[in-house]
Amino acid sequence: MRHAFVPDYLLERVRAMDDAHCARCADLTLEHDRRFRATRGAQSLTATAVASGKPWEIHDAEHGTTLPGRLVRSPGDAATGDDATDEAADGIAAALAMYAEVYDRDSFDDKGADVLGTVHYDQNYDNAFWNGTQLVFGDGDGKAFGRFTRPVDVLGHELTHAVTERTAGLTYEGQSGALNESISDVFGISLKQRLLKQSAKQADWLIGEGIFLAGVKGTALRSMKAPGTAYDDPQLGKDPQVGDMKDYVDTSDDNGGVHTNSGIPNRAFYLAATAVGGSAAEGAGRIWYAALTSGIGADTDFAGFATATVDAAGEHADDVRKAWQGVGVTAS
Amino acid sequence: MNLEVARTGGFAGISRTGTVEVDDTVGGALGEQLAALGAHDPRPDRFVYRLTLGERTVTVGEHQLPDELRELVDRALG
Repeated sequence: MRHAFVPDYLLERVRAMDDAHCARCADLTLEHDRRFRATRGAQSLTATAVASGKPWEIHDAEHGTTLPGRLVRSPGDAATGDDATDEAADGIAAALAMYAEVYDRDSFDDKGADVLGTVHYDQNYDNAFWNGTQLVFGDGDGKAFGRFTRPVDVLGHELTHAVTERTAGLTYEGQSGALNESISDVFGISLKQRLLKQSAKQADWLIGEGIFLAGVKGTALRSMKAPGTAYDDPQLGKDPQVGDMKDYVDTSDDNGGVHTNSGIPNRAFYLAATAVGGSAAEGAGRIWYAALTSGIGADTDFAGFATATVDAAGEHADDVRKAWQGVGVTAS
Repeated sequence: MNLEVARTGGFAGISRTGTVEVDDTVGGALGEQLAALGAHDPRPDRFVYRLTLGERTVTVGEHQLPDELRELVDRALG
């Protein structure tokens, strides 16, 4: 299963550098512009200016840290043959398409903002992030970690940090920080499963699958289904994630363990998505998106978010309440 | 003297620690540099560094590290 992942679907298109691929990019651009005009109206000067722009751009930091770096690919351009560039382009385009088609959201700001992504950031850089302006991806250290653009859920995760910033604005510390992290995993995994055309029940629920290089004892960075089981390696240590409130980790590391305690709401989403049924993106994902955009405060904790999801769940309220109970969190 | 570095967080959430030895001249300047770093400003998926030099421990995000300090930190983590 290790590599039976989006790359088959995405990379095939990328490597082919074919006309169909360019046509698909062009289609996305056209569709983006059409949606934008339909919602904003063509008369507005702002709308015209933005709609004539491009919904995404990929830049290359050429292993430095100056951002955004050199522009290397925009919609309509053929695949470049550089894996990181083409993975970032296809992943960002697919994430934008999911937000538009499933959640009726026009880019991260819901106003059609261009998404900038930079690849080949720094040297041996084992990370990816949203810096408030753009997405940034490292190539990994070449020993334990490969490219951070390779798993498409990383791209969805990072773009979702931008969405969260522009909606609930969850403070990146403690429970609200772990929720912020979890929401990025929720829409990252929804993107992965959508591209693989998997139902919530069929999926493996692994985040960062395929990022480890040969020799690392692990299948992925996180498991939303079984937090704490993704890797156990002599060099890297064991996956420290927890999946139940009784195991919540109080620490000053990592802004209060935001990547550790995110396992709790992650597993709640897995339980909800499998109970609601269908695809994660269109089933429980719609409920989570409605909760995220329902006006919750920046300091929302797990119980507060649980309540917001139950309130947004309609006929699935019982399923969602039970999912949170399953990780030791009570929705009011 | 030694600069002790603990890196936590980042997308992968995998912690690393390391130490780099600095001479007294560098150490003195480093101490001032650490003292001048602002309060920790958490940002999504950025690494969090806990830096200890002698009695002083500071916590900052990777985006708050000046270039020369970043190089030293990278050396400590090897």
